[in-house]
Amino acid sequence: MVSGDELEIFRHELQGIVEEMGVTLERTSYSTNIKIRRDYSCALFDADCRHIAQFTAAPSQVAALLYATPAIMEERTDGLQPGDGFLLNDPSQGGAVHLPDIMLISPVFHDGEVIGFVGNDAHHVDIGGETPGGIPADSTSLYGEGLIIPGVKAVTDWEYDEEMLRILTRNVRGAEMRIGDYQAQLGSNRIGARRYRTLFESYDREGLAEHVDELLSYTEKRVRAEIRRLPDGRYTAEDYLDGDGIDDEPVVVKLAVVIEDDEITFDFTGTASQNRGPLNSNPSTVFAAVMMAIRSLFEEDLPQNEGFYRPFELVTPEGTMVNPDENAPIAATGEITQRVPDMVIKSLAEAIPDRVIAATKGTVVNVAYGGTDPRDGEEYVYYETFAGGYGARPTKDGMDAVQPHLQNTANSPIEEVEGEIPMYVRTYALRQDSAGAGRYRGGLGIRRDMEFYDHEASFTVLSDRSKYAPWGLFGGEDADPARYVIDPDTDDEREVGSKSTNRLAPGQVASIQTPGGGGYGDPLDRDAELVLRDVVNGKVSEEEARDVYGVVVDRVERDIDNEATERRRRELREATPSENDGVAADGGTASSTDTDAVDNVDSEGGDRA
Amino acid sequence: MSVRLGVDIGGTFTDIVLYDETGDRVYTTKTPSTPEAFEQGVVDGIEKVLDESVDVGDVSFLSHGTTVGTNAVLEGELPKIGLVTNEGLRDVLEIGDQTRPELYNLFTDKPPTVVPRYLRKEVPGRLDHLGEEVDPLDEAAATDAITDLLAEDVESIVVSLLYSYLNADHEQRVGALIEEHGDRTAYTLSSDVYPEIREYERTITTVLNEAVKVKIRDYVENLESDLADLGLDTALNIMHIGGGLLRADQAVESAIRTVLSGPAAGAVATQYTSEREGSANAIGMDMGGTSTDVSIVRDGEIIRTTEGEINHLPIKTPMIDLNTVGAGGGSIAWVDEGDALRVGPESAGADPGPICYDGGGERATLTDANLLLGRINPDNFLGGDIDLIVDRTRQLFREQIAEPLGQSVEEAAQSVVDVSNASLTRQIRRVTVERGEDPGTYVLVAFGGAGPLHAVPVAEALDMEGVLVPNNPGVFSASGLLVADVRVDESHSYRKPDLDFDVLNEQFDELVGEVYQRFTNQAFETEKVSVQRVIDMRYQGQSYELTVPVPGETTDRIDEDLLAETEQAFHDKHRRMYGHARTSEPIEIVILRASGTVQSPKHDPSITVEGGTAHRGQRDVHFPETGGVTTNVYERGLLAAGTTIEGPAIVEEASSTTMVPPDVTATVTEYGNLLLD
Repeated sequence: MVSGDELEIFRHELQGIVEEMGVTLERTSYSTNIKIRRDYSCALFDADCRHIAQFTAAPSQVAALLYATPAIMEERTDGLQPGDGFLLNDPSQGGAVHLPDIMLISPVFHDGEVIGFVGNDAHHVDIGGETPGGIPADSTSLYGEGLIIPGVKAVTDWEYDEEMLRILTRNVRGAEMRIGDYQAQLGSNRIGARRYRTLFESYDREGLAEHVDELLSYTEKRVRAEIRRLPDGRYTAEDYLDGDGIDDEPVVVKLAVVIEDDEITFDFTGTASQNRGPLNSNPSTVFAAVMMAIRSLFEEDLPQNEGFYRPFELVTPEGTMVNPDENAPIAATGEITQRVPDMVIKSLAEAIPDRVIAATKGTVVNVAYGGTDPRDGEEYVYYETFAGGYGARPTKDGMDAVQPHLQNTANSPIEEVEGEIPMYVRTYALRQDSAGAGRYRGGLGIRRDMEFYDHEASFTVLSDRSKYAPWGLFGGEDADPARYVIDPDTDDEREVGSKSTNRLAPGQVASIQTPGGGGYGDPLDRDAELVLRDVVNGKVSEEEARDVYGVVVDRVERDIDNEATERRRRELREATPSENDGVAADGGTASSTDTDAVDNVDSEGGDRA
Repeated sequence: MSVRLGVDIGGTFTDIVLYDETGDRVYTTKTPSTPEAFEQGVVDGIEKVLDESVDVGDVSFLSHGTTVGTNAVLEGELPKIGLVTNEGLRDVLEIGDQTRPELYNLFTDKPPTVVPRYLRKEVPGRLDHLGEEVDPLDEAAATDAITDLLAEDVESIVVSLLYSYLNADHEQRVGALIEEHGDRTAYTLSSDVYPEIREYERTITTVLNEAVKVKIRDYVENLESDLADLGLDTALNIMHIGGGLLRADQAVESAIRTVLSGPAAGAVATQYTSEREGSANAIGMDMGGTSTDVSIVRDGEIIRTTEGEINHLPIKTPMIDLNTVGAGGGSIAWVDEGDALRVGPESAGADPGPICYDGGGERATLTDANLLLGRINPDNFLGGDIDLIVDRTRQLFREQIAEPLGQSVEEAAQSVVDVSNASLTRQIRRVTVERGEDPGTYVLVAFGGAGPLHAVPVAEALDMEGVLVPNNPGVFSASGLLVADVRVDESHSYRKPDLDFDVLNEQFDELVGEVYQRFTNQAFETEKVSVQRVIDMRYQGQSYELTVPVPGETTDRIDEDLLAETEQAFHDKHRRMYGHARTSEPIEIVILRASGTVQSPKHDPSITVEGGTAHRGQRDVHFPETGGVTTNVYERGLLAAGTTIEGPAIVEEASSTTMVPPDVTATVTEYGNLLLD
């Protein structure tokens, strides 16, 4: 019997191990991507490949480790030696995010016996292939995206196989940095193995197993209790992505969230079939996306281990874009996994209206530039991702200009980017009126205009959300979708696709205009003072204030005309019959909520801790 | 006839340390902080110590750690400030780094904007990454922007333009236009406050500095006048986050540096004490009511950084690398729905406080657990009917913790302590490992009200070299104020795209000159000032830097040899911090810094033990190894140097309690610190 204090101490001890793995990896890596942007994760498993602790900087990577570790280790158990290490990024071996995310998994030994596994996953800046960075907008197979590493024994006695390293580094750009990152990954596993062995010795085999059992069932019990607080029902959502970069046709994602007592099934049946272009996602990454939403919706942040995941089932039919065949291109997986959390949350809107938020920007907004720098004649390539609006919330506005859900990477300072590549950032601003109006409005998207001077540049967009807008909830309006524009606000203005590679003539301006977040609640119910504040700050135009919020303001005087506002709001209310039927259904983002779910809301209304 | 005073304002108490050089003795006291007007608490405290011991005319040195700046930023009570920036870029300040503070919380919020959008004005005019003009400054637009802001009655205008750290012409021109306007509105230029690369960080640092300046200026004026009324006519020194002192007027100018000055003083005290006790490596654990501040001293030097944050806002200034861990005496314990025992980070703080403080607290805390284990003497901190309060604490603790766990009250109390120690251990290890250090080669300096109770088990779990509990651990940070040096830091980006020794030396000479000038302005003699040149370097292509000193004197010309030595120090530090160095890679010079110090006289009080025996009696104390056991209790102030105490024992003093577990020996060192081994 493990007591409540022993359990908590054990949890701290396990967490300390994965934290030290993470800190070691971050500290000793070479790439900015890992070191500063923290694009890595670590995980710990026991001898039965049960997942017992994680250090999560990037949730999709943990899910990949979760799927891949049992898949590649269980069949190899007999031949394992202390100090072994296995490298992989191949989605056919259980799971993987995309090729630049490379996992290293090592067994942990004690007295000649396997007592567990340690693993980490780090995003390498390059993985070879045609496109630097390994995230092409137009790949049609996994082979085109870079080097595939299918779970190979690359480490013996804590040393990389030199011959193997030669293959790995000859296929990628920036070999020296990559070697440094591989070494950092090895150091991380090594410290993890050492710490885990010490822990094992302090508990012995039976004691450790007992504590693991107890920790997993504790976590499971807590998760099931959280699920039980959600009303049973089948909740659905569907949404469209712009297209896959090859065939520019919208593709549908369908989701049913089925809550039965203390279990949830996420069913993607009906989702579009596998795309020719890179808009595909492996089930492990889709799982990370639904867990992202679930963890955010739960009231307490619970330990993350196998026990957490037990009550959930994921259904991703084979051959769909959320479970493609093993050689499908997956570079744009992030577009799917940025959308899925919004959809999970939307589906539950009627069930738990006080805990959900409207749609966020819902896209990664990956942008790349390249060309020959006129200042020194060198080739350059540069990647960035940009923020957008956050969904409005039941009690407050959505955040302006922020990274939502699985994304939380920082921007690059203008003073650094302009030194590195030949362009001027002419505008970096919040987009007026881009948010969905509502009692609480969504966050604003951003606009970034970049002038590429004195040379021809390529401008690649790997993004989405240019055709279908982020939705509002409960009468809140949809936000503005994204726009990707060349020479904005001129006679030559030209909008380009959300997955496209474009040429810029010297002096042309590329403009990224990201989506806002959806609104929550009827804009006519918004506090007029808040509308005034937004008008004064130029976040909402006077026109939108009048036409959408029904608030008549004098921007110069910073005054609300109360009488005119009352009249205006009355007119608007009469013009559109009150739509208090929940999820907004315009903007092309059809939504349905089964009637039995709605019934449940009624019967369980107010049941919120 | 010389008395030195240190006054540290905390959230709950204002701590005062007085060192009387004549009598060679230290006197400490605490008085409640007065958040409505913090200067009142300072005056109360000073009156209290002066009443009891010395004459006001004897005070020759006054050093102060203040929370006024910190509070202004944390509570968002900032004055109305306008911003003039580049066309198209007024939202740089609001977009920030585009991240959100919490990954899994849908209700999280970005840090406050500080300057609302309508007070951020754009002016055409543009420089490039070399500082050369691309578009000229539009002076008419600048004048309009200034007129608009003045019409808004802003208290001050911040001017922050791209690349001003390379070329301040445009910013200075806007400044001149503000002055030409003639109504003496305050303004500040980012190129003056923080002339370093990265526009968001430069702008927010300048804006925060200006905002805090307005707050702290009033405070300093009030305090100085109150002190004059008391008859104190010595200069007021204020502690800054870099672990040094500034004269009050300079502290106002560098206002943002006054945030977190209390914890910085704790780090200074840790360094001072560990050095005197012969330990080059020490980890400072300042455990108070709500949290624990961790600082690291390596090879006798406090580990520093140049970036930190407050209220999720970045602040860029040379500072002590402090880490706050969510564990303190007020940490709340509870048994969760899954029957696990949880402790913190939620805290009962000072209000309502632990159950046993009898201030309305009803949830079990770590302090309550220590009381029930017999480790804290209820007489020390309880008023009212002690038996009644202890009974009530026991009762609530039993209901909330012991019964759900199926343990006795004492077992459950030990469980709470164990869980808290496990959390503390994990976080201290992480902080240390992050800095490339192994806690096994460090001693733990434990202070704050709660630190000495938890020091031994934490140090054992981290396999550390030993534990040092300083004299007066409860007001140890304030004692750091008395030993801190006066310290001035100047810096700016290296203003040249490639390496040019003439330019490098010229820019350094300018910085060093500014440092001397600052000391001269504070009436210090130049001979007492020691200045060091420091460079932030990185391998080309990296986006983070490491700070390394340039060897030698500031008058030595930096040539290839001297730079090579500096670069070697960079490689070494990179290897230590990150495990590897790329000695063949080109190195970039990013930021130049000059730091000057004037040493404060160090006091060295010997331990004077007044008559009487330190042994105060015995009480029943619970230890995990022994259960309840009759334990000797000692009065800290009566322990003479050289005394050794065999655990189990409890050592009490007014501000703190030290636990000496069974099989641990406490030795009183010649400086009066307790060494636990």
